[in-house]
Amino acid sequence: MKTMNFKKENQSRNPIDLDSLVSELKKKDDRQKKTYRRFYIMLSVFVVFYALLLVVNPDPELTLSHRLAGLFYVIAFITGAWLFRREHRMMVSINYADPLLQVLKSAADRYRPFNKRFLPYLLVLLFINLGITLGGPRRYLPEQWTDDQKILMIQVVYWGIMVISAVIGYLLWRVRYRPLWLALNQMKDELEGK
Amino acid sequence: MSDKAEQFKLLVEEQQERIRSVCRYFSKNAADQQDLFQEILINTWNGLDSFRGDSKPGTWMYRVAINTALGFAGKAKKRLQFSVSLDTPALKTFAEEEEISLEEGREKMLEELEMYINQLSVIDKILVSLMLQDLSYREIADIVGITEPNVRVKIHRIKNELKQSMKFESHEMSMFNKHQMK
Repeated sequence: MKTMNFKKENQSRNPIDLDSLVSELKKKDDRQKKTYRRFYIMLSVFVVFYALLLVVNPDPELTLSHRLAGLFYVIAFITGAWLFRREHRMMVSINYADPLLQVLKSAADRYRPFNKRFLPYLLVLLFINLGITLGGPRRYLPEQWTDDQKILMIQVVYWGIMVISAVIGYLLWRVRYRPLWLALNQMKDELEGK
Repeated sequence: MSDKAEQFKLLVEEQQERIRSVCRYFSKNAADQQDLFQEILINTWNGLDSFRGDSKPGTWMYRVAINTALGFAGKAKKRLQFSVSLDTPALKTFAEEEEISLEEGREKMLEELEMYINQLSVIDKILVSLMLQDLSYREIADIVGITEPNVRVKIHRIKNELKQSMKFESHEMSMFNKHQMK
């Protein structure tokens, strides 16, 4: 586990320099706040830029379906940012001062592979899908294809990539987190006397 | 200095020694103990805003220490090791209650006790570490989040397991010694 870069004592019984520790902790808090503020500013700029470029741009070549595609991208970004914010809040709200059983329960829930809190992410995928379907990629498909065929092809490729990504994600979870998840559940059950 | 910083310093100064002894239980290595101690202090700082004074400051900080020790061991991909020394609080009481003589061959008995404690599950080791801190059942229940009678039952079972293991070992040893003498 990576520890903070304040002065280390050589012996475990040596007193620790609390003043320098407190100052480092405060700096860390400030850095974290700044990092998240920058992230939200960047995202807001991105959303405004995309909205101006694809939604309210007066360019006559932009069709209604392009504008709708842009709108769906913007909605996907906003929803994604909201979900990221929720996830981040949940991560920083991990309280080490909670009783052990409660900490084990919430950790086991966090590391569960199929969690209902991931369902809203499907909305983001759906909005991106709508954006792609209505937007540019159709023009790269063979001209002799009908609109229905193009839409079908986009759906097959898009959801195919999503399914492959989900399988890769699950395999990564099995390697990285499954042992931890099983250990957490085992400890939780042991404490509950199951 | 801010209120949070003042509160933090006060809490750490008061509880420092007890928390260091928890760190010593979970690692024999001085560098690991120091890393764990620093990690506990960081988590104490991060959780300080949630401290409402519902439980004693000592109990509150024990929770942070135990939860951090568990994460520390998990991330380090190693089992929680347990180290018992002669100056461990409540060790003498524990040994007397369980009729384990520490006077004859203290070091050997401690080594055996440490070995058997290390064979316990992580949860049992945590309960033993809290028991050896001379905490009441009420306080242990508050730290781990189960009921007081449940703590009592679990600790009784752990004590019995340790006692049986050590009795079996000494019986085996005496049989072995008799066999050697023949």
